[in-house]
Amino acid sequence: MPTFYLDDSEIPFTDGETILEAAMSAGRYIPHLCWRPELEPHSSCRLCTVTINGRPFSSCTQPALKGQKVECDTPALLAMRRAVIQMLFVEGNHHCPCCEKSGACKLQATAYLLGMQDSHFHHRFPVRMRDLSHEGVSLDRDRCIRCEICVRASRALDGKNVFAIHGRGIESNLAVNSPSGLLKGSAISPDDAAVRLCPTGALIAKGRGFESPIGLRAYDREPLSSIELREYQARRAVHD
Amino acid sequence: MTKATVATCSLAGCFGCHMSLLDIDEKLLDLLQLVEFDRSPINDIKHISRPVDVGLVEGGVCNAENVHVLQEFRRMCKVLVAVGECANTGGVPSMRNGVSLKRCLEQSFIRGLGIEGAQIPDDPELPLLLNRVRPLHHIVKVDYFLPGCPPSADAFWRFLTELLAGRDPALPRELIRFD
Amino acid sequence: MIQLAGTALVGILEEALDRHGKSPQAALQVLMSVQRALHHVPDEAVEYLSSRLSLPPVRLRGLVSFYSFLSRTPQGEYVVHLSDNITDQMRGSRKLGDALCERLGVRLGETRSDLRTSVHRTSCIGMADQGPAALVNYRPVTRLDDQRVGLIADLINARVRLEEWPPEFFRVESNIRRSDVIFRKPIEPGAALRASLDRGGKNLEAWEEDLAPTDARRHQLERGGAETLKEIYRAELRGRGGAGFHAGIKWQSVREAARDDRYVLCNADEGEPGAFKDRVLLTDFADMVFEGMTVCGHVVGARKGIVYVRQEYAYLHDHLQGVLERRRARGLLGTNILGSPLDFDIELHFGAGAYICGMETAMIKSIEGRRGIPRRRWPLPVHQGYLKAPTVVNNVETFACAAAISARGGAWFAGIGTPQSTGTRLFCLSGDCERPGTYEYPMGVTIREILRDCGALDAQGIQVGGPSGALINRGDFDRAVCFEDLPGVGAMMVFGPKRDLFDAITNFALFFQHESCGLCTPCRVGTTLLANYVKKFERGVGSPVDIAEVKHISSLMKNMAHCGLGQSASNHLMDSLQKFPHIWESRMKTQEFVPAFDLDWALEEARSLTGRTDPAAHLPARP
Repeated sequence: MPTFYLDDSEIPFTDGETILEAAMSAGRYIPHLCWRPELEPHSSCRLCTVTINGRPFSSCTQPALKGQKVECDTPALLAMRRAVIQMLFVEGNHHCPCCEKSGACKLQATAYLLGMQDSHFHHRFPVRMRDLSHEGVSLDRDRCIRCEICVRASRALDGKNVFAIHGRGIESNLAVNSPSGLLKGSAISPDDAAVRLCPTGALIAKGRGFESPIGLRAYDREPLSSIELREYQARRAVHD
Repeated sequence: MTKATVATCSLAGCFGCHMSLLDIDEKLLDLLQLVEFDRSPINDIKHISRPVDVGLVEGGVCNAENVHVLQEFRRMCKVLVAVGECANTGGVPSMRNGVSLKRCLEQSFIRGLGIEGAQIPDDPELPLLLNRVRPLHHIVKVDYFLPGCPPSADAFWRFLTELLAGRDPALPRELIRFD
Repeated sequence: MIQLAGTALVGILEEALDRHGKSPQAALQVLMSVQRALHHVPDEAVEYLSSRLSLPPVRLRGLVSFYSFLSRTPQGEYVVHLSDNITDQMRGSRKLGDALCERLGVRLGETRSDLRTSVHRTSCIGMADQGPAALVNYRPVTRLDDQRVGLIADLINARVRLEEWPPEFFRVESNIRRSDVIFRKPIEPGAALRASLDRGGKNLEAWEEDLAPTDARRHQLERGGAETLKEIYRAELRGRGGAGFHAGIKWQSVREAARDDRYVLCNADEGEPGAFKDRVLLTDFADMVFEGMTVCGHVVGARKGIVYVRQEYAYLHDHLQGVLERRRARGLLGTNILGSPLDFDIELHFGAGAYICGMETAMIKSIEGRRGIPRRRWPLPVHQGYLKAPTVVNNVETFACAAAISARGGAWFAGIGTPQSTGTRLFCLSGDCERPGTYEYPMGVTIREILRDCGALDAQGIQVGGPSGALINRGDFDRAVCFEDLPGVGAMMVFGPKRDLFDAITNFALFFQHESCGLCTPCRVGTTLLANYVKKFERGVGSPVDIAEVKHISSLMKNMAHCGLGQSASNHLMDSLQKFPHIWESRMKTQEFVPAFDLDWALEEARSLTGRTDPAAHLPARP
């Protein structure tokens, strides 16, 4: 099996694998928010950026190459990843203390992994539309990080096409495919992958909030990285 | 050994962070070996009496009085620490930022249930509200941030002992919490 | 709803569908036609088109919300887009715009209640050499002054049709001030193609006698393409769009691709503020551009080419269609070109207002009728481009050069310029110079020589290559413009000795904030944070802490942004900090941090709600 170097470790890979996939298989976690193993990569959150010969690449899209020397956990890259996640925090309205996703939120858990202690930048406090119209699913755009996992999952996994991104730049927002633009009247269902895979509390299946007490929530017990590595390797074992 | 001086206050917060500080239990006695408190709700001193080493500020900035207090802390504290979610991000009070001040005040004082003599209070004794609730670093330079709602007693202890020992008070990952 | 709107709406929609087709790729073209006809894209139109184009309404609304020239709410019958580039501003465009709004009785960015007119600001419309300029119903009006603005207001108020407006309003000059070996004497239409075909080793007359393509002729065609590719390599032609990638490598990759459907795309989405050379090329040298594309089609084995033209240049539509028609009539496009087995045709495709679409992969998406979001780096467009087929994407000027190379040989081209930057380059001079316009120089020309020729030797600074390029000062004037020194597209905005360059960087920072597509975190958030810092300094309350922040965000965007827009969106800020530090320093009041907003202003709303005026109802600017 060919290998490449991720910092100091030698990582085997199969032809066509990306750097991120090969690293995850080998038990090396690279932070990410817009990447999911079951979806096409998107390379929009930029957290998984690594450098090769000093040049930055998103590891979720960059194919692994034999003998390549990839830098991943350098102090500079860790600091930049932390700054990117701080940007996500100030861009929206992320009120962890009163969010039912807290403790099971990938945005929050990734911030912990990256040692984020403050939001550093100035908060924008945007005013965004909340959508509570649907009986089973709520959409809180304040918490949306534009990773488009729901857009992709709805199309590829649910076969529904419920979501799209509208607008441009900082004003871009998650739009719903229904005559009124509301979740009510769309094809969404609480069991959809689009809802389940939302990394933040933007999309939430109603009626299940605060099920686990603090201390027993998904990432209270174990860091996000080890949970995801285990899941990815189990998934690979099934698919191989 | 001279003790480090510490001042604390709560702006637009719930005093939960202060409660959590008290939660370090018997270590409080150890802490008092290291520090002496100046202005603080713990001793009810109302103004910082002299330049102090560390200022711990809980809560965000929601009104003119908060601004004055924060500015006093910045002026008098060598090291200023934003303590808790509200000081760091605006927190729960900043959830009003999506609603205009007009609507907030009208809902509270005019349209709300059971209100008699409806009027938006205009007493000069009351601090005037800012149009938006702000985290501390929007108003003054902040040196350190202690996250959590509230920061756990362990986080407080770890942060303060490291800081007072002259080391980088960065929290280990297991002590970083936003809720 | 459709019934309520009457058959007129359906008629307009069907006409747009007839003109552009009913494939999903036609979506953007159809919507732009609807916008022009109805001055907005009403929800009923989206519903109707959704079924006719087989696209969900949410996707069509996604297009309407992404492209600046499309709008969901009604615009006036006369839509004015004021070009708001710094070069326009330097010639008083802001005041003229205010005057226009006042005379029309409309607020900027809004529509007059009688739906007669709307006035907006827009990024540079490609008329920086003859600004201030504006688009009126997507037709450029140049050289705006008080008098012209007054007349425009009168004409709109009197509801005079655009066709009856004074034609000189719409006069666009090419302003070619200097030409060199490529554009002084453009090649004859057909010369480059004939040379390319002839390289196959058989004379054309024999081909024309018998049109049936035999294997031998296919082979000759193939060999001709291979030989022309060698000429492109020999010429060392590098892309003129900015990145400077070798055209030969691109062409070869597509030529060797395993698929039969291949495409040649010409990027005429000249959105870089201060650039207008593509406008000049499409106006005066369209034959050369189309011929370059056709030669490329020959080399790579493509049958179809598409020119993606920015909406700001849509006024060139009829002219370009005319050139294409003429070329078809002369056997230079279509089937059996010049009697050979070569088939190739060219379509025009127009944008709808998005700078990001100048980015190769964003442009491909836009041509596919989608939002112009740059896609991931791999696979490259040469392997999977337009409709996932192997695709060459080159700039307008690159294709014109390719035509010249095919006609006159790669060695000739390689002999011009410098070893690493061959050929000539078109420069767009604007701003504080005596003779703004287009200048052709061999690569490697110094800034000083260009400044001398255009009459701007007293300049204090120049933005080279548009806002994403480099801001240089006098110390750089002896540098050479070429890939090995000062690269970038040939737009040069000149700032005279009396200009406050902070106005320019403010303009650029707001430009990038407006044009960021929103895909990736560092650019989406970073451009906004940077714009806020620039505004803070504009208010005169910056501090060294803020400068450190600007540098921090800039470095983050350079390293972490997904595409070139984000990676280069802070260049002007970094350059100005290094080369013109005084414009920042003069806007710092203190060495300490000051809030970005005025604290007393933040109490204003509460003051007005309570009616309080006592001293405690105010906060001093400084503690």
